[in-house]
Amino acid sequence: MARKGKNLRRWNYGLIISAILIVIMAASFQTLRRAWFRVTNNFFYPYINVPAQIKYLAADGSSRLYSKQELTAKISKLEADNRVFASKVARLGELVVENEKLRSLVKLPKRSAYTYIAAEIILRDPLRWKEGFVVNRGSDDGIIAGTPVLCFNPEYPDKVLLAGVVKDVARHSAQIMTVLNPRFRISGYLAEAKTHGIINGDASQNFRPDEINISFLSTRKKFTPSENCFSSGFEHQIPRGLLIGSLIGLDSKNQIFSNKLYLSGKVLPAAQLDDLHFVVLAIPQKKKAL
Amino acid sequence: MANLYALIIMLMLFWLQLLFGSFALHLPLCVGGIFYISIAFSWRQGIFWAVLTGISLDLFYSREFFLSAWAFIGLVIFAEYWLRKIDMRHLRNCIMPGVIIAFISVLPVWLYKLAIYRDNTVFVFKDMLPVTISILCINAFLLPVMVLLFDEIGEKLRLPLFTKANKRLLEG
Repeated sequence: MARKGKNLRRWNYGLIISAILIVIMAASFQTLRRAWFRVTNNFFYPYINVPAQIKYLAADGSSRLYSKQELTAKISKLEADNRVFASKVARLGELVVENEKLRSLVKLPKRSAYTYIAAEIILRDPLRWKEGFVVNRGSDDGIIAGTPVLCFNPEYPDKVLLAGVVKDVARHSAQIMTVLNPRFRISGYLAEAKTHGIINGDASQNFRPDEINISFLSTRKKFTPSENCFSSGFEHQIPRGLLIGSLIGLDSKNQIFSNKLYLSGKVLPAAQLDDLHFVVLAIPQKKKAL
Repeated sequence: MANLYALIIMLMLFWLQLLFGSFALHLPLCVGGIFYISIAFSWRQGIFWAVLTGISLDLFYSREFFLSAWAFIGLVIFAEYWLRKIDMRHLRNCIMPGVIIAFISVLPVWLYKLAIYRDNTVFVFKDMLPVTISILCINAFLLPVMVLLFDEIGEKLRLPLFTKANKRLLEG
């Protein structure tokens, strides 16, 4: 009987301690999540980076298979390419100086400066492939949460595409939330309708696979299908004019009965997220103190 | 020694799962490790590794929903039930749990997708069913292989074995 009572008391203590632990965990969830991410990512980074390292080692090793003549031909081709790129860079340098001069003449504000760094995707959730990934650049490279992640798509040859934003940063790696992540929230600008909207702003909007939700669009504007949606520049770190995607259509036009004061729609992302291996991170340069 | 062995097993399996995941291949290796530890060592160790691995996996994959730890705890309960019901000496008895634990590993993502795309369940089934079926088939063979491998090493290290778990349970 006494043993039974002891067991019961032990169970009660166990339950109370677990309840307290759950409350503490819930209260400090966000802090714990960030701390845990940083610690584990800093620890696991060399191991996660192994496939990329193996790939580079194999690429380096494969160059030994070429004959001397083949290697010489490759070097001379690379030198020729380098000369072309060097002339292009010199021309761009001239244009930058000219642009600065013209801006100062017409008293336009200075262009916001960004440092661009390339990053390789090293980790992805196989079951949520398009919603996020981890890249091999972190706070040591100057990346902070909210840094825009850019990519390119041959279907849009002259446009820079927004693939996502940095969600969390460790020393050598960063977690990226793509435009297809339901938690991705920024403002978008529809160029032809000349109006702004919020991506994933309306929680009541239904999600569809491979489509981005956009809401709070003006009811007074006319929208054309496949018009481009760009970043608006309202966010502190994300420059304006980055292509997010093209408008597929509006969700519901019946504003009278739905009692909504705004329109919602769907945007097809421009970035090919299922076949993405490299991205570019645009780090805003720190402004000098006055 | 058993704790160190469990740590090495889980670290290796966790790393391998992340590695294969980067190539879009979801191999439920961690659940296999938790199942092995729960049966070969104890359910208490199983719970510890289930919580730790579940949280770590969700964080590494940037999942906002922390369901994996709960699913893995369910796996430990299932392991304890299976141990008390089935003779673990025969490796063929690992095929069925292999299928069940593989389903437990994808269950959080099923729940997440069903919640997000609640108006488009057809898409969820189209997206998840082929992956789930292939994972179930792979893990039905993978779990017995894992048990065989870990028991082989465990025997050399004189550690409690998976295939002798029933005997230990009766003696204890």
